Amino acid sequence: MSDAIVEVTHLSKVYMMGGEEIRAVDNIDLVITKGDFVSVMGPSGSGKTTLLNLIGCIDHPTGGAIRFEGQDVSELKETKLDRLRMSKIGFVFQGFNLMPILTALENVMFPMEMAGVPKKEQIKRATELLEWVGLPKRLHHKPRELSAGENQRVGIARALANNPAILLADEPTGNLDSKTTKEVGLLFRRVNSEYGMSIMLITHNEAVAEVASRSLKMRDGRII
Amino acid sequence: MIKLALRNLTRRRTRTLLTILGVAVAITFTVGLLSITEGFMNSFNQTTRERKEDIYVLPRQAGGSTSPLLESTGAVFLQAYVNDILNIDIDNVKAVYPIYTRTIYLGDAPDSMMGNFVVLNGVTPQFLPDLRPSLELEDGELFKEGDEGTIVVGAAVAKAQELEVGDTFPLGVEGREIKIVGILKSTGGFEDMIAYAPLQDVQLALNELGRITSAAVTVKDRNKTEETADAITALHSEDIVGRTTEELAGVVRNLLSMARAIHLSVASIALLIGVLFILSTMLMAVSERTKEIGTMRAMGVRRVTIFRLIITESLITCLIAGGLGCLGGVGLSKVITWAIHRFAGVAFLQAVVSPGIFGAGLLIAVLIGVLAGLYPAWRISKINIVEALRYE
Repeated sequence: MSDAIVEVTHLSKVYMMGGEEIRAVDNIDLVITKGDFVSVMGPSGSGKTTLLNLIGCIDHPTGGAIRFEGQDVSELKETKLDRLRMSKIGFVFQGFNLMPILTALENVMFPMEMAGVPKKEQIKRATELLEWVGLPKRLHHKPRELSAGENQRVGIARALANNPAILLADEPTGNLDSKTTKEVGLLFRRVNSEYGMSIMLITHNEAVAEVASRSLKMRDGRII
Repeated sequence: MIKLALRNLTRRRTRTLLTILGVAVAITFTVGLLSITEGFMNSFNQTTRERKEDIYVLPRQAGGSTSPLLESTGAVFLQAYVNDILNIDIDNVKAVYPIYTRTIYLGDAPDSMMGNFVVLNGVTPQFLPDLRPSLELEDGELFKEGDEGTIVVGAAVAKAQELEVGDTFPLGVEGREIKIVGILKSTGGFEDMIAYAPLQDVQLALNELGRITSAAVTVKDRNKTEETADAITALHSEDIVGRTTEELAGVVRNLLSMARAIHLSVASIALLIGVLFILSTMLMAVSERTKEIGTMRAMGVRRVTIFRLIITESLITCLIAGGLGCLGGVGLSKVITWAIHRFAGVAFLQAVVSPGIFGAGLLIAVLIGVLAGLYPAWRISKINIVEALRYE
């Protein structure tokens, strides 16, 4: 049995802009296996985020196929895609995208609550995760009361909440200073090594890319 | 879900409070106006139920209408017709009670205008026991056959003019005093503004001896009431009209229904403003949260959950507004009732705040909440996740 988490074949995303055809993702083949840590680098507009969105099942390809744990996602209806994202994919965003009205603990509990995890278990796991990312004293702080680095740690803990098969991180250090960037990069390394979780991380930062076990470069929608 | 919705509503407290206030004002108007209309209806129905006459005989000159139209025309007819009515061919008249009615200005009441006026009814001694059996005395007694210079006054009149049994009634008849012999218990209805005096005293005081403004008729067989009314009209059709109590009540009920329709129209406009108010607030609120909702969708939160969240927020806002609006409605109806008592001198109108009206207020709040929440909820739940994540 294959241990591929994500298998992408001849994947394309083409759209029209101002009468011009844009090939954001152009015939890409890629396999991310269990425990794989892939960084993707490339200039702006090279298609990195589009590729991540397609793999994250929040965008639809115009050609090719994505198999998630062997399942062709193009066959899945919207509610099944929602369930797939909830249980198998953890997103980490450049701007953290935390809910400002919720505390760090509640932000991490939120995906579990949506997945129907019992409340006690939510609290236990969210507390453990926040301690694990180094925020044991920040559980009851809201995002505005936390530093950028702390917010991103909460974002990573939230992405891990439902114990997904893969973390998809879109420039997670883009808003951080160099010291925090290094810390967050190492945190991803720990997620990969301690949880054995697959990670696909988009970055412009060479140092961050280096923490990955495999590094890809993209240009004009292709992996080069 | 409810906890999250409540938290979302506290993001922008001032905006949420203003929205609640706007919708509460709309519901205050609706509940307040409905309470007033219901109060009027209740008061009228109660009075109609307690009156025992079957037919009113009214002057033709007044178009067969009851007061105040009757009074404004100053129309009267001969008291002598009473005997003719008693003896009509179809032999269905049980008794006839001649009445002389006039609204009298009594002078400024000490505390309010409520008791400035009295509807003075000159009647025969049998009128009150026979036709108003539900009226009870608070103090004193009713006037009897052969009594002169006596009067029984309604509770509102007595209260406003600070009158007691044994006092002289402010309306003097030349050369003779009118003594208050009885004060009626409050009914909360029209009756509280009425005073009853012997017919002849009133006629003398107003220089109308031998003339009456109306007559109340009871019948033996109620199945023949209409026929009897027609026969009474036929007696002196140039001067009088016989109208059944039901027929007259119907006219008033129609007028009250019109008033209710007008109140509902005003309330509908207020409610429409409420819907638009919260709709715009909700649209603004969800638009600000586009990125956040995109993030929720990326995390696998279903469209229907987002939809329910927004509807819940809208509903909570409207339910709080509904509760406040209902309380405001009670306050408004009390203020309007007070103002009517104070400035218009109408004592009988009591706003009714029934559980039904409260329920209607809350139901309307729920409807506003759902209606105003539907479009923003639908719009935001349909967002494209990728575009929403890019939203700044």
